Amino acid sequence: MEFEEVVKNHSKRLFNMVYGMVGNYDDASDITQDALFLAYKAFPKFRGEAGVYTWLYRIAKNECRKHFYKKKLHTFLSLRVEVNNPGTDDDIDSKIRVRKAVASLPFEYREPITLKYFNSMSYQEIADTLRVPIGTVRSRLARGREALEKKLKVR
Amino acid sequence: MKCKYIKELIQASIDGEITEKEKAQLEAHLKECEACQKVFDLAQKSRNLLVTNIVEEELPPYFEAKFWERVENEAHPEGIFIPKRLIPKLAGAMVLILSLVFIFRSTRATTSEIYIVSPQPQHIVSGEETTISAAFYPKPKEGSISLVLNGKQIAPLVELTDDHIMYTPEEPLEEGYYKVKVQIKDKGGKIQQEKEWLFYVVP
Repeated sequence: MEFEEVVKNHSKRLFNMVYGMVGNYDDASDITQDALFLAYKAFPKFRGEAGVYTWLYRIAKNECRKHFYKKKLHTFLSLRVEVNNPGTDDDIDSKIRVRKAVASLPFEYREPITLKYFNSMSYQEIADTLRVPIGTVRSRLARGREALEKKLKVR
Repeated sequence: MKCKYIKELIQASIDGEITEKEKAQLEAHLKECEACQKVFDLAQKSRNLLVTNIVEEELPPYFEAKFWERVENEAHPEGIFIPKRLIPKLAGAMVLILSLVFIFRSTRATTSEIYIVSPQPQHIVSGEETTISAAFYPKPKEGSISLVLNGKQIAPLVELTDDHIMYTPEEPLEEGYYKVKVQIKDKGGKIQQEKEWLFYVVP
């Protein structure tokens, strides 16, 4: 398999996953580019033990975390107060509100929610990708969804 | 049946990942538990909210072209790619090079300065390969050098020579902010020079 194929077949899915994780279109584009570039450099060593997408996902997830820590570090150093809650203003487009709410969830909930609803994975696929039992996927999704309900004030 | 378990069944149910047996268990429980029935209604609403608002986005314009352009510019064969495992060794080499440079420079200066070698201030590093190091120029003639990490004196574990200090933790550092303080003290323990910086460790 050539890396051209990887880019062609998986970029869009990966981008959508990253977009779900970070909630910002431009950041998602940069992070996906970085992740693919790292994957390109590591591709000669890729042995195919995990599926290609699972492998890409793990690289991209690390890039998302770096992005997240950079933001945190920046906030810490500049002593800015970051408001992570999604807006409640009716004018805010609901799609953006939902994305921001997902992106502000704790990482352990954001991961399965992103894979389920942004990447349309089955529970089994999520369990394989995250290397956790299906029961863990269920409970994290349930708790993540509850946290989301609070953020979005679903009643 | 515990409501905590039922919440997981509710999740599986709204996602269409429930078995027939579990479905029967869920339905039986919902008939007699009003609280779980409310959770179920709410779960359906929030799932609908997610499904209707999350649409698959197209890739940004020229995404693939930009990627291949970057490959062309940055990853050509003669480019340098540093494997992670070499980073501590390279940090050591940097210390050595800096030390040599300092040795060959003028020796007229009398007060030693502290130069940060790694990790650089405000950098984000991986906990598995963190080496903290600083170099001194000119090398302190007498007194002592101390290295404090997050308020903890770690001198006994530090590789200390007269012109640099280097510390690689035995266990990978945990995620979080780290504050390094390096001090040059005189014979009487009075601080002559001090440098403090922050870095961030990711798993």
